[in-house]
This record gives sequence, C-alpha cells and structure tokens, in this order.
Amino acid sequence: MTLEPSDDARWSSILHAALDTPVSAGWDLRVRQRLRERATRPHRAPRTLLSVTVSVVLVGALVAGFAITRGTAGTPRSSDPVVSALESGAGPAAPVAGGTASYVWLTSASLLYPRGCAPAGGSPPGCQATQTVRVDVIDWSGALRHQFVLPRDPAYPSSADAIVAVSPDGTRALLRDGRVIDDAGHVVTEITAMSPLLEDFAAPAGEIGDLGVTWLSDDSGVCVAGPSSWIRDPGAASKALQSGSSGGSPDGLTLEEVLLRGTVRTVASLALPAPVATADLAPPPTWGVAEATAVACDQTSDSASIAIAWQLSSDEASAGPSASSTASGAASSPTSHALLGSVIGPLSWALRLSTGAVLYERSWRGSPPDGTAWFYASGDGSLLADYRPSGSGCARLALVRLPSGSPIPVSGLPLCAGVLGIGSDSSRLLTIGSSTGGGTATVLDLLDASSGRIVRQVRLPGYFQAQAAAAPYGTEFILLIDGHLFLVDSAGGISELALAGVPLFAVNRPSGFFLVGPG
Amino acid sequence: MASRRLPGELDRAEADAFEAELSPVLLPARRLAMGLLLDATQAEDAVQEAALRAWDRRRNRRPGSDLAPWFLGIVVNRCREGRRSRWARVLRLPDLRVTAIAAAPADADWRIDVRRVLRSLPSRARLALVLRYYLDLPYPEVAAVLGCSENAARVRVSRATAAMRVALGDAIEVRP
Repeated sequence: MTLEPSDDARWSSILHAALDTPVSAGWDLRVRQRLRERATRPHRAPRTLLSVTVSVVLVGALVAGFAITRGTAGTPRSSDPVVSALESGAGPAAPVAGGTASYVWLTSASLLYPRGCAPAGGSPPGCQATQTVRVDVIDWSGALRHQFVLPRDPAYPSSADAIVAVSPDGTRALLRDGRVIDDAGHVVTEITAMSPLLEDFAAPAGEIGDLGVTWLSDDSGVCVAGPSSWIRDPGAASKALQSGSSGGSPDGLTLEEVLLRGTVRTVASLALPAPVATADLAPPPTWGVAEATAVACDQTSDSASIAIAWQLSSDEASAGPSASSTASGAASSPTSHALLGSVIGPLSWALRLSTGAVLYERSWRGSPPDGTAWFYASGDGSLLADYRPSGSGCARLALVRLPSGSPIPVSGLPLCAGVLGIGSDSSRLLTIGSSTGGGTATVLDLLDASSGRIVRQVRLPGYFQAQAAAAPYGTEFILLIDGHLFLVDSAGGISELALAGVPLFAVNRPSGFFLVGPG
Repeated sequence: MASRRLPGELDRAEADAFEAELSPVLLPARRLAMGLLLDATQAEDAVQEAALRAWDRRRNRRPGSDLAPWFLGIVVNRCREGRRSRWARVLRLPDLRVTAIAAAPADADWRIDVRRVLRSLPSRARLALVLRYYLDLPYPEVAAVLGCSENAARVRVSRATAAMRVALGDAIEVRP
C-alpha cells in the first residue's frame, strides 16, 4: 500500500486533532532548570549495570514479542498476543450469575476548547476550557447499557474525578457535589450532609490529604473515613489550604455512615499514635498529609475495613500499632511507637459496623521501599491485602483474614506483585507483577484467597498496566488491559468482552476505589 | 600559565551548550511522548526525565551527530518504562488536560475513539505513526529514530495507517 500526499495531510490532521494538548505553563523552563541542577551537582557513579539490565530487559521483551507473534508460544486463537495469551490455556469464562443486573462504569474525560483556541501552543488568555466526563456503563455480560455525560457542576468545572464512588452493583454513583446518579446518569437524590465534606475532598490531591468514601453493601448510603478534625469541621481542610498550611494534623480517624435519606452516624473514632521525639528526631514531627480510605462497609457481615496513610512533616516518621476506639467517638491514647525510616505510616482496622468495636488493627513496622501505602479489602470485609516492606526493593503483598488477623501464606507470585482486585466474597484475588526470567513479562495471577494457592497464572510478553473490577456478589472480575476488556471467572477461565464504540481507558472499581486512566 | 577550569565550571559550560541544542527538541519530544503515553502529564514528566538521562549519557552520543533522533530515542525508551510503572496503576491521577479543540461533544467522542484506536496499536506501529504524522518528521528522520531503513519505516507507517483505517471505520470520515 502506498500513501498519497493527500493521505499524509489527512493522517497528520487526525493525529494533531486527537493528541494536541496544552503545554503546562513553564514546563520547558522547569526542564531546563532541572538540567542545570543536574549539571552542577556532584557526579554520581555510572549506571552501567542498570543500563545493561534495561537493555537486556528491552531486548528480552522484543524477542518474546517476536516469538509470540510468530506463533512459537502456544496456539493463539487471536492475532493479538495479549488476547491469545489470556484466552489460551483455560476455557472461556463462565457467565456471571445475575450479570445483567449489575454494572461497571468506564469513564473518560475531555476538555473542550472554544474554536479559535490553540491548545497545542498553550491556551491564549480568554480560552476557557470546559470539562466533560463521559461514562460508558456495561453489565457483566459485556453489553453496553448506558452512555452519558456526567451532569456538570459549576462549582468544580475542571474536576475530572467528579465521581467519588460507585455502588457495589454499579447502579448508583456519588458525585463530588453530593448528588447521587443512577446508571443512566439521572440524578436520583442528593446527600446534603455530604456536600461540605466533599468540598474539602475536591482539594488538590496531595496538598491536604484525602477522604475515603465507599458505598454500603446494600446501596443505602456510603461510608466516609477521614481525619477526625475534618469530619467534625467540614471546612477545616479548605481553611488549611487557604491559609497556606501544608495540611491538617489529623488527630484521629473517624468513620461515618451516611445514608441516602440523610441520616449520619459516627461508627467509630480511632486515635492515631502521637509522633514522638527521639535522639535522632527532635523536635518531634507532626502529622502532615493524611490519606484515608474506607475499603469495605458490609451490613450483612456487620464489618467495615478502613485504613489511613500519613506523611510526617519531618523526614523521619513514627508509627504505633496501638490505636483504640469507642463507638461514641472518644479516643484513647496510644501506648507505643516505633521509629520508621520513612515518611509514610499506614494503619488499618477492621471494625464492627454496627458498634464501631475494633476487631483487628495493624500498622507497619518498617518503611515501604517505594511508592506509597495502599489497602484493598473484599466487599464483605473479611479479607485485607496490603503491602509490606520486604527488603528486596519491592513491597511484598500480604494477605490477612479478618477479623482474626491470621495471615494467608502466598508464594509463587512474581516480584513486585500488586493487587488488581479482590473478589467480593473474599475467595479470589487478582494480582499483577512482572518477571524478567525468560524475557520480560507481565504476570497475572488469580489466587485462591483461602489458601494462597495460584489458580491460574498468565504471562504476557512485555509490560502492561491493568485495572480490574470485582463482581458485586461473586468471584468474577472484569479486567482491562492493553485496550482489551476480559471476564475472568473463579476457575481461571478468561473471555474477551468485545465492546464496540467504548473507550477502554479506565474502569471504576465499584468497591469505591476510584480509578481513572489516562485520556 | 593557562587557566584551569574546575569540573563544575566545565559542566556548566557544557550544560549551556547542551541546553541550547536540546531546547528546540523539547516540544517535539513532548508530542512524541504524548503520542506514546496518551497522557499530557505523563508525557511532560517523561520528557523531563529523558532530558536528565540524555545529559547523563551525553558521552554516548556519536560526535557530530544530530541531537534530535538520539534524544527522541531516549524519550521513547523513557515512555516504555513509564508505561510499566508498578505504582502508576494505583496512584494514577486523572489527566485534566485531555484536549478537544472544538466545542462539540461529538468531536470529543471522536477524539476518544482515535485515542482508543491508537492505544490498541502495537507500540512500534504507534511509534512509527506518531513520528511521521504527529511530529511530521520526514521518512529519513523517522527511520533514524526507529533504527531501520527508510523503506522499512515507510512500510511500518503504511501498516499502522491501514490498521487505523480499519479500526476507525466510518469514524475516520467525521473530521476533514
């Protein structure tokens, strides 16, 4: 096939129209500034070993990709190596029972510029962009059920993450302005009690921290976890930001249950261990940025799982395992502390939802080697997954049965394995990691969460990122990887869900952890 | 007696020259990263990291050779690494600057569809397409970045556009 000159112009027009974005103000200056800083700092040891490693990794990926596309690895049913690798070696996924009655939301954001503005070279003054968020709602059979654009909120015209949390069955979503919409995009109610809190929630991430919001398992309302001072005074976070403060100093973590009909109940208030002075660290640090999450609130099992990670205002951190709770909100004092060499100090709790009684609590006794802390819990609150330091350069995935706190041994996972999703009934766990043995590969593992046994492992040539959503009442997952959507069942069966006209950029996990992918 | 420059001074002079040479390539590099990552924030971060990496590895560049294809190659590698970042999946923040030029929602949807198709292309095909039609590079320069012959570059671009044409279907006719 040869390209005509007119084709050249046409493709150029298409790509420019699709990809042009405004350059951040001062970006090129920042790049040059960093360059100058690098040039004037002391020389570091050469990175020959790292360079060689990276080269080997890249060559390995190319070789593996070449081998797969030439059909030397298995008998792929699709020409796409990702599809063929996932669909080969096991049968197709079994349909999800009741799958047509629950939904997964896929979102994508666009900025609309008035005609005449030229975003590619930076927006000229007066060019005000308008943000829209498009939602594609699919059911668990893979059928597209609804497409709509989120109702705009004048208060947050530039917020792409307008959806705070999607209900477990995907029939409701809480928006940042307190409105609740259904799967067709219609506003069904408004939780006015949430509005002041969510105003704080809309503050720039990383500046004053975050709140954790997740739906109750029966869709009757939401659970909200956050620093107690913010829950008591919903304007505190905004005030802190406006005053130029680096953030609130959380005096504890509070979990509230907010029902759609407007009633609010404090489930528990938990004390955080106070920072302590040490010989190496004086004066004592203060709590800084806090990131709270409510990962599960289940009425059936009467359980809730919440966690908080925080950053200290010092370069050192301290954390202790001894927070305690009362249902009335009073908090007791911590009793012990452990000095960490990190700025992150995570704590997690399992609670009885009805009384706020603490069933389980845990903190890190070391520092995460990279990234930050995060937590996952099953919809029924009986399984918790998080990362712990391993000393190998990667955090180690740890599984804990709740509320007993008994660890579940896991072996055979690749280095740096992370959680993609936990089945709502706690029986399955989907993880992703990477392997360099025999060529660089992305490794997906489906685990039996009761034993830690690997039910199915799939190696994909090259590196991929992925997202997953857990079926609300079962063991299945919807997996988004490399532009493909798959259904994964409890036995490891995988089938691609073919969606026409849906932008496969992101999946909102219905467990309340809001994932929005690029674009 | 000849004056001696300290290592730091030497680096600064060299950095000035390097910066002067690199500056005109920054925006094309950002476009390349945008085409590969489809995310403006990630693209800008990738180019910044690539610039630092290029400085660290400036001795590896063939003397007298053009900086642009060498640097764009570094950007490509940096983008590949960025796509496999383990924590990006967890910590990814929404990109607020996904852009549409026109004000019609239909245009935004069309743009989303084009990006979806671009994302579905094999990385090497997407790279060839972006170099040719988003950076508007002539084929010899496309070939230089891809590390192949000019004819091979033409074939890769041709195959990529063919795949795009099939995947976009009627949507290709939406825009002039």
